Amino acid sequence: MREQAADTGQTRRAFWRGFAAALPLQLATVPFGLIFGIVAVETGLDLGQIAGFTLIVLAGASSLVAMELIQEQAPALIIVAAGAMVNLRMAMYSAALVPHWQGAGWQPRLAAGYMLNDQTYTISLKAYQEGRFASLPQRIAYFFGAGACTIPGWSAPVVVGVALGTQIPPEWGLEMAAPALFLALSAPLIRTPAHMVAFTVAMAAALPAAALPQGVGVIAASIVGIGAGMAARRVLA
Amino acid sequence: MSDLEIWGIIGGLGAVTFIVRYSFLGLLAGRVLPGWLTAALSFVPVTVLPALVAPAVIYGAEGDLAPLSVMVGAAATVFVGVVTRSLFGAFATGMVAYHAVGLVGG
Repeated sequence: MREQAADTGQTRRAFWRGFAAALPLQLATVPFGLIFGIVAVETGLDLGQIAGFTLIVLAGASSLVAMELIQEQAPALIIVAAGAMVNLRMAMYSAALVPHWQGAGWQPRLAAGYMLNDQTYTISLKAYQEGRFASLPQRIAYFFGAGACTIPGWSAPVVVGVALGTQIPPEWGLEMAAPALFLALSAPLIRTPAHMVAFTVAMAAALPAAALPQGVGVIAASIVGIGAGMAARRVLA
Repeated sequence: MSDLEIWGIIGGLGAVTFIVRYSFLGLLAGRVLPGWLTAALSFVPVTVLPALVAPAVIYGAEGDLAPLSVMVGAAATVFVGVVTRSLFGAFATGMVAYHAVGLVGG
């Protein structure tokens, strides 16, 4: 009985350590949430719909992509496809967690299907690889601690953005803020020459591809970029 | 776009995002991601997001070139992002560069 209490205490501590580890990263989410809130209001979404994107989709980049494409009157199916493309990277995160979650029940796995994002993945995997948690419940608690921090960290700035809404004059740089955010998200992931090739080719391909129906161009240019990156990886490796 | 379509997008995007996140933890439990697929997935974030913004930061709104301030801001963001690997640093530098060029009249 006492042993079990000690376990519970350790698990609870792991949860809060995950929460604390995610805290400084919320600084990066602030401009993101603000911009999403402002752009969502500009797009003409009502509060329920904005809450839907914020809490059901719970993925900032793809939600912002959806706003851009809704403004451009792209077909709904294409918008979902483009957003899915943006979130495909999370399949990689999902696979990366598996070896550290061996023996986990279906409940945490299902919940991770909701809370897995760039931040919870990065924070958890770092701690796991450093071997900070010997027991599975602690590793799982650490992940959900980080997740519990990222949900308000993302939605609170959205609320502020919605409140500011259209009061923000365009001179403040919203024509730059959204593109800068997207570029700031992707540029740090350019780790090899092949990634640089993929990045450059995707941008170049996006220019003629912009003539394609709205949203299709993004997907097409991305596929061309991925192909170029894979080819470059062969040649350069 | 109708409210129903917007909710369709929210539901659709929420569902596919859940499937992607849950993929290897649940649906494909026990499977190992093939090497080529891991490599391909690592190229996704460095291609989708830049492809989305490329027309806006290079062409601009009227079909001719984007304002110099936007181009410089975008270039500064990418440069700092690649060198420092800092999302926040890259974003902040890009915004400062954009406003600096804007003030000078670019």
